[in-house]
Amino acid sequence: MDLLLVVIGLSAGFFGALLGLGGGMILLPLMVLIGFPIHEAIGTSIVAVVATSVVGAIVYLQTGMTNVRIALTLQVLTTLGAVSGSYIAFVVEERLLAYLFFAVALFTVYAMTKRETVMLPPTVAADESAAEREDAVSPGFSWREWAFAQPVDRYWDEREQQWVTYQARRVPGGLVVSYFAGMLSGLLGIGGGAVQVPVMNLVMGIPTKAAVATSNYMVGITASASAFVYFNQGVVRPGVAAIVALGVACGAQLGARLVKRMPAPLLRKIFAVVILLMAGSLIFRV
Amino acid sequence: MQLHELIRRLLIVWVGTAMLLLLVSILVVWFTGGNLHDPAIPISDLWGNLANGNAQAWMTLVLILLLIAPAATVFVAFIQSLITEKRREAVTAMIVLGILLSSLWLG
Repeated sequence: MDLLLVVIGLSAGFFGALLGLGGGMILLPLMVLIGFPIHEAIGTSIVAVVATSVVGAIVYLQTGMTNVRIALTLQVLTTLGAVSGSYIAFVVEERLLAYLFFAVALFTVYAMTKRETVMLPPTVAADESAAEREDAVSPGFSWREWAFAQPVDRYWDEREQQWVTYQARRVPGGLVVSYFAGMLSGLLGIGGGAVQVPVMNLVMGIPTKAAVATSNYMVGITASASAFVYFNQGVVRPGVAAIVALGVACGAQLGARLVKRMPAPLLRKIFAVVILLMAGSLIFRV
Repeated sequence: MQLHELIRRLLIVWVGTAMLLLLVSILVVWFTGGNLHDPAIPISDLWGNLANGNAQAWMTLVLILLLIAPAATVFVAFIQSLITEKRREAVTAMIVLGILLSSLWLG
């Protein structure tokens, strides 16, 4: 059984990295399929999501694309959503969780296969000097400014060989959706990046690369809030979570290194079917 | 040092240590004939079990160490914003930290 958990962790991390998913989407149905109760599977999955996110964040932070400011602003409601979602998971029927998981799997698969259309190029191109002016902004605090205005930020795009300057807009809209992304994460033991990235990109106008990097950092904070709740409810077995977390982290590293050599569009289509089948099987198992 | 770099270095040390300790604790439980499927020890009973050298308790502690890594990055962001007098970021980080800590202790 322990070796099976290692294999499951490695596979979830490996294929998650290949497909641009956190691993929770693959891990949860697999754990339920081998006989774990759904709440234990969610608790374990959320621990694994923390592991993948923090390992991924190390890489993304180095690129300078992670927008810590935006992440923390959105994180206020995402974390609240994650905590409330985790509590709700213990009071709703297991079958309802399975149906919800299937619905999220459908959306994830759609976003994964239509990635080219979901992830649009940067929509805001503020002038570069604005990023420098941002440092001169008053360090004072006002709730209005906190909710409505975000400073200009920028990152160096290695591929395009240019600075990409942007300013997040419609922050209140982003905050509302972030709450629900956090809630889904807490309810289902997934990262929530599949919801967060398109929202940051399409609603808030954050360039795709910055949105992916920022979401990756956020997922770790969101998942750790949920993990504490599951931990305190006694549904996380430390030994099982440890094996799976290590497996997922190693698998994700391997997947990230091989992703460029794999036929990504074909893989996405194949796994879209696999993920939907696994999510569908969850409904019949619980 | 920039916040990005500060958080990155913290994560490298923190996560590297936690992962290594997790691996060691799994191996200890495996080779001492323990059961990795034992349920979690409640945080309130953790300290007593740690003092008794319970491998399961040590694994639980290491797992918590891994789980608080993201909270540690928020704490770093909070301290850095205080030092650089960016109140907006300090308040945001403080709220997030508050929610995380309350979920750890009250969850």
